[in-house]
Amino acid sequence: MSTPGPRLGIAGVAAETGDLRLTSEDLARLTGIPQRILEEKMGIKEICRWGPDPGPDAMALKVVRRALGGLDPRKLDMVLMICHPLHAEAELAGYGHVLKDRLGAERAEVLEISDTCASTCLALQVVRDLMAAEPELRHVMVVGIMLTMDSVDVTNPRTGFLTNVSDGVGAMLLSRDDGDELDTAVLGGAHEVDPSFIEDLAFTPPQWEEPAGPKRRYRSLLPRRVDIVVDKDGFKNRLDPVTYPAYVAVIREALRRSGFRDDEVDLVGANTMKPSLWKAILDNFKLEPSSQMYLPEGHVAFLDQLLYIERIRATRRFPDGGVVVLTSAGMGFHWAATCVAFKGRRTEGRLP
Amino acid sequence: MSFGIAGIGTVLADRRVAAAQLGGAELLADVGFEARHEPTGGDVSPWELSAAAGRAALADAGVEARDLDLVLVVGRFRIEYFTWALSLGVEKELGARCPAMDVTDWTAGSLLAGLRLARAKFHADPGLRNVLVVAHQRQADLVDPRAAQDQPLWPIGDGAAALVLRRDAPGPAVLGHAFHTDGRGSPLLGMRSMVVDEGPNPDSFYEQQWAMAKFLTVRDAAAWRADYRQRAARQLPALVRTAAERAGLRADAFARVLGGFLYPDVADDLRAALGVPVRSHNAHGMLGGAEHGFVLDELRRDASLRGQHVALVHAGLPASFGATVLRV
Repeated sequence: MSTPGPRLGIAGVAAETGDLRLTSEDLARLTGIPQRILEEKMGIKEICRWGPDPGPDAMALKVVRRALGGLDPRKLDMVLMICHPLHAEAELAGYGHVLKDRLGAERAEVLEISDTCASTCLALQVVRDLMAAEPELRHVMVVGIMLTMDSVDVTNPRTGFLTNVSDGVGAMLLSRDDGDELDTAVLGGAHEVDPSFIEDLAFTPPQWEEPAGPKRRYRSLLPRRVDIVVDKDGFKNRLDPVTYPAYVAVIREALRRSGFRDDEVDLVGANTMKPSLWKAILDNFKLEPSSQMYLPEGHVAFLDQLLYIERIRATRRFPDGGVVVLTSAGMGFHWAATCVAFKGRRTEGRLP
Repeated sequence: MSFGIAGIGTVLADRRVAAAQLGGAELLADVGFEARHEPTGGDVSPWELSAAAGRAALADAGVEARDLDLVLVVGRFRIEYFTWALSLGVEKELGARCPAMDVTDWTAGSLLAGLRLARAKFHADPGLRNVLVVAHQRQADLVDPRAAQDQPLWPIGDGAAALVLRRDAPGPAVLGHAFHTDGRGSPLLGMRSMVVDEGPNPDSFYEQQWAMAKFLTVRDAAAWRADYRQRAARQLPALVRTAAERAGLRADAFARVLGGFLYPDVADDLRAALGVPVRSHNAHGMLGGAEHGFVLDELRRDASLRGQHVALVHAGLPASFGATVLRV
């Protein structure tokens, strides 16, 4: 069974992580969490941050050019930007405008998906939907910038679960594939939410007694960091029982909407998470962790999915074709999954 | 695939400041706004505005929140009212539980962008029945009405609009779109920061609370307006023609072209270029594209346009333009 929808593939992908490294040893010193716990229980070997040079702006342009391959940027119809909601560019002209100008993508519209770490999975779905409805749309460049800056305070014991967050940039060129020339097909997706968590985490000045929530304004030039509004244990106790089934449900649904069975998935490209949760999710699809990829650079927000695709390509992992489900949770909470098939003997006749 | 607008909700920040109060009659004639809206006391969030508009649209449509299949929230994100996902905040307030997305639109005006995405989603997913699209703006305090050079930005105000879209419902049908952005636009538009007094300090360490605040600003108002007018004159008529072509229509097929906020000279240029009546909605200032909620509300009350084609146009900052074709 093939999926209805446009023929759409990943024509190019490129990603880079921040050039500075904090090792688990550094993090143990900063957080007070034993190095063994960081590595074994939380799955953190190192995290990445941007140094002053070349910095995320220059690197974003570089990865976009790599992802373009030989495509003339004037042929881009859309720059679909993903910046974390914490990004400083948010208030005047989004970074997509800057990039569009620097790139010379004269015709490109600028749209931005702002759904935290679920954004890449959702961006793939949005582009697929738009291409189905709008025949004139041919080339979309999805660009993501992750710049943690002051938002994650690794010394804050209440937000220890954010210790694995890393910086990076990534770009992915999505193109129509009417000529069946691309090696991938972007297929169906699924999306679940639970809005009951939306007020648990704030972005707030650390010295305020009552944290800034979404209804309380503060001047953005004040120092701030992500913090937990309610108690940490309460947040964890409510989230743990729902996140695992939600991941499994969206992966299953993305496969189903793409015409594949549970046992046909080859790789689950999940956002970097604690190893125990990751293994539990894989068990549902009879996948061994040793057959999968685990990103050693930490959780590069919505860029994890781009890193997976880039590495699958670089290692020629599926010479006979393969089925990948990209999946991620996003703060608030979202769980999203999108299926990407690599073309080959194993997927022949199964794709649009 | 067809869907109609089953419900419309609009809200404005409670304090109406007439243009005449700010700068006299010439401000109305030149900048073109009748009034801007801002919250009394300043502390109303995009979350509250969006939820209020969503609630009103649901009531208007007679749809329960639990029957929604998708919530799309479109607008410019304000980091000073931080939330991970405004769409999830709206869901929490309304009691909805369905896929929800936040999209920041830089080209089309927020409500027009939401209509476009909803159209694509209806097209892609036959199971989709009810979609809530919310557009919002909460930027009034990014403009300093004491700074005379910033007059062209004074219309920026606060409000939200929401639409409930229902598959196969009667009502205006969306036939085509075209959007464009001129990148960063003129370098004469930027931000400046200054120290502001935020009132008595409850901690009483200092008597007053002081903070660094950011404001939108233009460096040379006349030059910036000329630049913007030129960009709009180049883009808007072309976009209306492209959107018409994509809808299988001629550009002169429109009974009317309806703008959100348009500077008067921009509206004049568009009228001259297209040769059809152009009406802008400047009554509430600039609402980031949420003005189109008010436009659509007026449209459904206007029996004279029933069955005819109209183009909704948007001209936004820094240099973003869009057109959407509707059959009323």
